[in-house]
Amino acid sequence: MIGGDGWDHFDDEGDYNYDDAMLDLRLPPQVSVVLTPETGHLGIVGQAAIVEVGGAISTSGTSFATPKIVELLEPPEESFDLPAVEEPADLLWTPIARMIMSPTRFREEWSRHISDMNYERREHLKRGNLFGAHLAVIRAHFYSLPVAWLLIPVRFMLHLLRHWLGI
Amino acid sequence: MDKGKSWPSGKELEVLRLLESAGAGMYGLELVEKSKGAIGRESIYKYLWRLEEKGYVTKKIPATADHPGMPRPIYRINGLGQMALAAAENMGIFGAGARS
Repeated sequence: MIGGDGWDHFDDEGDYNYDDAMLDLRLPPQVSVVLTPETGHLGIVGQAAIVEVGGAISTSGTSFATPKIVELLEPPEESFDLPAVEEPADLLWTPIARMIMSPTRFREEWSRHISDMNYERREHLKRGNLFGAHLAVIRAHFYSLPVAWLLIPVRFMLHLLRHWLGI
Repeated sequence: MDKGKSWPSGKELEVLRLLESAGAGMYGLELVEKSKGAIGRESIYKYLWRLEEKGYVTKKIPATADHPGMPRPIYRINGLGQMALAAAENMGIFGAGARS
């Protein structure tokens, strides 16, 4: 209803559901809030308001947040204190030995050579002797190889030679 | 003949002698070094395996190793090995150079 003075007037003015104490509403103290998670790169910038209404303090429904990119840097380098796990070295022809040797012989002879190689390699690496570590691996390859295996290509070559010579 | 009671060969007796002289257990590489060339690195584990099968040597594998991979076993002469060694010495099986 529009009154004669040009302002709106409501007939049911007295029916508003508030009392005089609510008129004591003061401006809420506003606090700027910036939330920046440490592991992320998105910050939330907003304001939180504490509203005191009739002696009761309320914080609900008055805050708003605006997502904002705080920084676009590369992710921080993560440093884990994991112990350096050194892969045990293995002999190149271990798969062949596993096929040819009996399991007992493989365990009792072949794996001992591998253990010795890893031991010697580790000892050289402890002293910073990289050449010695490489040499230990080569030496273990030489000593672990059964002599009979070396005869296989020799026999094969002799067989070819006899074939070519017609003997 | 039962393989577990067969007599140790000359090289195996040499390994037994080295193990007895050390007192404590020894690694395979230590045996090769102590033998000063008498026992090759390529054959040491063959002899040790045979000696273990024959019952003259006992083997102990540590639970953990200070190097990557499987731990190295420690070999030690047992009572039967000492008896065999003593018998070999009494019979003069060792050569003149073997006891040097």
